[in-house]
Amino acid sequence: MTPFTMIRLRPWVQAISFVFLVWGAGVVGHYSADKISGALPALSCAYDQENSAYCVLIPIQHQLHHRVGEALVKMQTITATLFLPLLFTMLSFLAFFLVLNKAFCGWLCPLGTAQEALFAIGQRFDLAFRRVPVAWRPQVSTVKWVVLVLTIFALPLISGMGALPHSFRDPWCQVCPSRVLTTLASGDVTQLALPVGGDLSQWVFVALRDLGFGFGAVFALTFRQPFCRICPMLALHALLRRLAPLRLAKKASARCDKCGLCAKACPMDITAIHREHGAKAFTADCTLCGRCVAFCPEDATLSLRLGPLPLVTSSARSFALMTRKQSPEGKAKPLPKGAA
Amino acid sequence: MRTIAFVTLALLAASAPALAQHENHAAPPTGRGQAKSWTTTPMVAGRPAGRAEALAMPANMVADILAVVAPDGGRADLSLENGQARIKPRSGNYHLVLAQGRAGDATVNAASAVYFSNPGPAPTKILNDPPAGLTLLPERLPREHAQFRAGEAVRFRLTVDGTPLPGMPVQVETANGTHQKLGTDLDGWVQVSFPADFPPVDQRPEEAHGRPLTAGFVVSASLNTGAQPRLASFAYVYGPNQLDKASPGFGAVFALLGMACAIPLILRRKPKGAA
Repeated sequence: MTPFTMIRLRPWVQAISFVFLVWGAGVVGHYSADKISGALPALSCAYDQENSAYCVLIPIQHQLHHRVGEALVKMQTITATLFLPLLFTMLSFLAFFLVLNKAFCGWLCPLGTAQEALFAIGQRFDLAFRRVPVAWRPQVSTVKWVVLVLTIFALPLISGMGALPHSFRDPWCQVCPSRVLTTLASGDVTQLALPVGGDLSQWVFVALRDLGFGFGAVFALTFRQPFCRICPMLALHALLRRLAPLRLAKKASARCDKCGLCAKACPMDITAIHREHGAKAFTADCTLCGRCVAFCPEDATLSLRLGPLPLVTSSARSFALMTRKQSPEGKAKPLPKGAA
Repeated sequence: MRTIAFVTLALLAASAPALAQHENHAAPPTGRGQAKSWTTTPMVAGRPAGRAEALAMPANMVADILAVVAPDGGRADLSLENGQARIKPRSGNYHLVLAQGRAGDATVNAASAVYFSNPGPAPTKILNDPPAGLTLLPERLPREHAQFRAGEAVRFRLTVDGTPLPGMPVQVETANGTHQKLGTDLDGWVQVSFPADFPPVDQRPEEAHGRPLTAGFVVSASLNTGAQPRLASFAYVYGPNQLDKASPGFGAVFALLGMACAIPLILRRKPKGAA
């Protein structure tokens, strides 16, 4: 497969994945036991009643809340029965992870697919193109780690220990925009609905969820993958990315310093792919979408590899084909008036 | 060694989804055990009793046989103590509870379901293959994190020894006081729409620790042909409509507000010096 073929194939994989993950209950079955996984590392929301799989983040939060937090309070002995479900969730996540590494983000995640579609629409209508200013990128890149530690690990645990309201049992899921996207996609407005009265924290969570969803839906027209920048799933993947056989590889090339097309093509605004070589070029923010490989004009400089096996390798021919279709930033060609 | 490691990992991955399922917070909930106060229909009710145990309680009937059927079809007889039986999960989430007995002159087949956070298959098979005798079972049970809701329609099928019974009257009663009379169609199905009969929002009790408010219901049908009248029932719980206490309109306003905040960002800035 050439990088050009890969980049043409990816939207189809994303579209099929979106349909399957959001509406796939008709294929796999109705009950949780029917789902293909409760630990799929893609945002297939558990609140979506028509889905075919669950996102790993919800069992992690709930197990920290229900089991670990409650048990710590009761001062019970920490046994295998306490940590086993959490361990199993993580192990099944790792089993998927070992196959595709972070390619789940770039190829399968429904929220990622929706954001890419919105960006393509926005650029087709010649809306502004924005990216994170270079000076801000380290700080922005840090946000996902804070979100992971705080919302996936710390708050559910503290809530389970009784120090926070029960609504903090799954704080990330409370504000996750995918919860609104996937449920609306299956005709369910309950996850958009704002509570009237009741628990204030619940009201705040839903208000933030709706605000974030609305903001991101419009911002994605002009800015690539806004939600991915803060997604704890990306951080969870990033923790383990060196362990999986599938990865992005880059050879040193003297011409790299002059080019930088790979960084322009990167939807996550990763500058290291341009400036670094070897393992350093594969950063925590990479989603293995392969756009950098497709837009690299140098033969064999960038590649997606499964262990020692190169799956896709950059080439001048693929670069020529890619740039005939779109600019590295994602503007479809012929470029809209004034966008050159 | 590698093979063993791979097989172990694969087995762990395969069993993890069910193990990863959440606790009884998400399980179909309590609110049963008071059947006698709101209905005289013979029934069996089930409710969770801890993380890996549930209780089955026949009501308005004399139960001769009480059994639980796991999603894989495995059946175990239960013994009654003080009017209730303890159920341990065998395999899978939903287990069917079956009570056979008498109520007056009629022989009764009562059914219900209990939910466990337990690995194993879905209950599709046990709902599709009804046990012998007159049986009334739902087409599906609520998913994890969900429950039957007021306004939701669920089909139930009336069968005798697995054969659908068309044109039969079916009665629905709820703990909130609703009584409905429906009838099965040509394939033995009857569609039950759970009524919006919960008290007004401001008169409902607080939901403790995320446990949703529920009320019991029982769907029943009688067959009066033959020497002895027969009755089948299915009892479970349903909850209020989620939108009773939430407004999609207000939610949409917040989403639109978010969109409005992003609009200045998507517009192109005019270059400095441009007319």
